[in-house]
Amino acid sequence: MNRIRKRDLIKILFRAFYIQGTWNYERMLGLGLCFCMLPVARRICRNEKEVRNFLNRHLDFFNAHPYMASFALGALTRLEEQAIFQKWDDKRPITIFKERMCGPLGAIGDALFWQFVKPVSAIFGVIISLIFGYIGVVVFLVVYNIPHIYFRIDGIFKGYFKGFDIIRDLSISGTRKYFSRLNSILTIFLGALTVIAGYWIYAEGQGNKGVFVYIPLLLLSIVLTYGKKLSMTMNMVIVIGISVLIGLMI
Amino acid sequence: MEFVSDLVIICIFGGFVAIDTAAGWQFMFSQPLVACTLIGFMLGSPEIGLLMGILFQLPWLAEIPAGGTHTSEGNVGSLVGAGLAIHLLQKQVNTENIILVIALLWGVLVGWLGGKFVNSMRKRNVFFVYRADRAADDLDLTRISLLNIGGVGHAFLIGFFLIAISFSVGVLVVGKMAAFVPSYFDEPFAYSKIGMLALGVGTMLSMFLRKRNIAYFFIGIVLSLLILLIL
Repeated sequence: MNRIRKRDLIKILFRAFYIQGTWNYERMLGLGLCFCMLPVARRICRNEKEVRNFLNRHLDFFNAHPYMASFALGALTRLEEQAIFQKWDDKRPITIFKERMCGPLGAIGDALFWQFVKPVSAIFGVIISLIFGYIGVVVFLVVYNIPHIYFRIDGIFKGYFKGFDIIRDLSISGTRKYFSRLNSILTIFLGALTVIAGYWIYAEGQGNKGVFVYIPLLLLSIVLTYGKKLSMTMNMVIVIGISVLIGLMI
Repeated sequence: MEFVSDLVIICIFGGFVAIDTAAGWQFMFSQPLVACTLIGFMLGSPEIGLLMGILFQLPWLAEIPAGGTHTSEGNVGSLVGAGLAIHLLQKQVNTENIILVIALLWGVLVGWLGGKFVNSMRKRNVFFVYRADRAADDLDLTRISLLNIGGVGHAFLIGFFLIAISFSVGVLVVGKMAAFVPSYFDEPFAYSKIGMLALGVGTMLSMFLRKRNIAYFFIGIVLSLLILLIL
C-alpha cells in the first residue's frame, strides 16, 4: 500500500493554482477541488471502487477562498489516507468535514486577502508609484504575493499534518482580534495615501489650483461611495464628468 | 499595421489577465497598476500605462470578488482603457487629456460589460462539471484534469475576444471622437486625472476608515509629510 509522499503534496500545491478553473454557480469550486485531489487518488486508491467513491466525494459542491482552500486540500489528503489505512467503514466524516470547512475558509480568506492584503498592497504600490514611478508596481506584486504564496504552501502542509484538527486553527472568532489590528495598519496607509495623492497633483504641474480641486472631489467621492449606493461604474462616470465640468469652469 | 500588432499583443496579454483574474494563479499581475504598466511597456509607452494603472487601481478595489458576487471586470476594462490611450496618443499628441478622458470612460464601460461576460462564463462552466461527472463514471482521471484546464482555457478565450472587440471598437469608433473635440478643451480635461485619483482615495476612505482608528489615519498623514520633507 502506498502512502502520500512529499512530492504528492507539491503536486497538489501546483494544481491548487488552478482550483478556480471551472468556478460555476452550481458546485462552485467542486471540480477544481477534485482536480487538485487527483494525485491523492492515483497514489492511495487500490481498486476501481475506491477511485469511483473518491471521485464522487470530491466532485460535489465545495466553496472557499481560493488560497485558503489549500488548508482543506491538505487536511482532506490526510483524511483520505487515514480512511484507507485505518479501514474506515463509513467515509461520511470526510464529506461532512469538507462541508464544514467552506464557511470558515471563505470568511477568513475574504477578510484577510480581499479586505486587507489586497487593499494594503495596492495602496502601498500606488503610493510608491506616485513618488518613485515603476518601482511601485514591483512593490505591489511583492507585498501581495508573499502572504499569498505563504498561505498556499502553509495550507497544504499544515492541513496535511493536522487533518481534522486544522479546524481549530481556522475559527472565525479566534482570528477577529487580528483583523482589528490589521485595520489599524491599513488606516496608516490611508492617511499616507491621502497626503501623497495631493502632493502628486501639486507636483504634476496642477499646483495649488489642482489641490483645491482635489479636496472637494475627495469629499464628493466619499459621499458617493459611502454605503455603496451606486455602482463603481456610475461613480467613475459621475466623477469624471464633474471633474471635466470643474475644468471648464476654472 | 501598427493597429494589428497592438491588437494582437493586447489580446494575448488580455487572455492571461482574464485567467489571473478569474480562473487561475491570482498572482495579481492582472491588477490595473501592473497590467496597464506592462501593456505600456509592450506598446511602447510605459508612462501612460503607469498613469492609467494608478488612476484605475483604487476605484476598482471597491468591487470585492467574495464568494459568487457579480462584479465589474475592472482589470480587463483598465487594460483596454490603457491600450486605447497608448495607441491613440501615438498619433494625436496635442489632445492628450481629451484622449485620456475618452480612454478612461471606455475602460469603465468595458469593465462593466466584462462583468456580464464573466457571469455568463461562470454559468457555462457547468458544462465542464457535467462532462467531469461522465469522466468519473468512466474512471478517466486524465479527462477530469483536462476538463479543469479547459475551464482555464475558456477564461483565456473570453478575455481574448472581449479585448479584441472592445479594443477594435475603441480605436476605430470611439477614438475618432477625440478628433471632434477642439484642442482648446484639452486643458480642462486634465482635471479628470484629479477626479479619478480623488475617487480612488475617497473610495478607500469610505470603505476602510473607522472612527476607532482615526488616530492611525493621522499617524499616516504625519509619516507621509515627514517622508515628503526628507525627499
